[in-house]
Amino acid sequence: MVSKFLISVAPGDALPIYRQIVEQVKAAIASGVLSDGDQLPSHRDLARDVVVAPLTVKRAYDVLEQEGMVLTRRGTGTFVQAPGTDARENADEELDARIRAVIRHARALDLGERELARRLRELWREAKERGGR
Amino acid sequence: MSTESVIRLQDVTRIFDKGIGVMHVDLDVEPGTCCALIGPNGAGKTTTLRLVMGMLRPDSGSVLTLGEDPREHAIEVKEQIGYVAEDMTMPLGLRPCDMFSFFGSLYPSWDQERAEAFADELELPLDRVMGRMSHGQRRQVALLGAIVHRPRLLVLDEPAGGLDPLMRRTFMESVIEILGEGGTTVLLSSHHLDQVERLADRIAFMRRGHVILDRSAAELREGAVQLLVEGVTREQARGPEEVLAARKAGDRVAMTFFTDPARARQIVEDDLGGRVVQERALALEDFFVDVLRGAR
Repeated sequence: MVSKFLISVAPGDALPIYRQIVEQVKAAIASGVLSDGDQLPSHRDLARDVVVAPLTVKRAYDVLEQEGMVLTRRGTGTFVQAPGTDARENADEELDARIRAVIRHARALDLGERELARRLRELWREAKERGGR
Repeated sequence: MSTESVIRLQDVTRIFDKGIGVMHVDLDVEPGTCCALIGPNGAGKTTTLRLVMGMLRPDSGSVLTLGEDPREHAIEVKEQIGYVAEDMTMPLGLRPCDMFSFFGSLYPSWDQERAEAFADELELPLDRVMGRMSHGQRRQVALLGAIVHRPRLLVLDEPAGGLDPLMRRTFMESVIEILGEGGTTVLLSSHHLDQVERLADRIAFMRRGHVILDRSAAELREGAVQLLVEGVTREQARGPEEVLAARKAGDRVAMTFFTDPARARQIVEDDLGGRVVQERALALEDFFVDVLRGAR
């Protein structure tokens, strides 16, 4: 099975490879690239796809399963679990936390709310022009 | 320790006239895993692989490969192993198809169809003499000679040696394919840490004949932490056994630990009375270099 989402790992990163896989699957779920019931590639297929040892993929899936993001059904495969209200909430919380960090940063630079909002709009437009959504 | 270890070295020492080969090495490799030996030149990686292959006799200690002494049961063991040496030279006047016949006579479980399928995938010309092939292509022929018979153990010495990035990737893909099939355990040595991270479940870090760290790849990555510390001298910093390296950074000391980050902080603050200024996770290569440079 070909993966329904793009994933790539970077050896040499401070994050171990299995963690990189975990984070990317989570991001794909949070952003809706993967939704409830979608099947993940087998260990072997994903291993082949991203060029890592199959046991590394297994380790990543085990972590995702422990965290309730996926469910492995014996003999059939690994599936994205539940509409992920939790996942959505976590993603929202994470976004809030990041925005708060940006606000702190802006304050440290003596930027007001209006100036920050203006920059956000500007960068949003820029990102859109570059082909983002 | 599992009794089903594919490789088991217990307290193995082998000294050469020219110097240390390996000293008191213990190594256990479980079935279906990929274990990588890393370390600088002269650390004992190739010696370890040769002991596993039964090409060297240990001065003391015991070596079991696939449950047997690889020197006493040389043929039975070798039939179930695939081996690619670092400096493996292929006969330049022969073609891959000649090599395949040779491998077929060597290994009872040689599978000609599988060999041709692999060769096809790798776009290897079977009828061209190897003298007219690239270095990378010759290594691919050597690799096929090591994997087509579905060995229970695949031993690779510096599999990245002299390969360009594309060939290296193809080589890795072949190894991953074999690991994915199940039933094959891989032991490799490599200077190429990116490759090690992609392939290895287990990493044994060697230095001067000793295995100084032997952990799962994830543990090794997550236990490698560096703290920038004030109020501690470098000599003090080198004291605790969890500290693998310590070097000066201006009037501070950068300490590389192999332990839980919380424990590392505790050592600095409670045991040494220092202050932690900064903490960072270490990428494998940084960890490797730090340990070698700051060696105690």
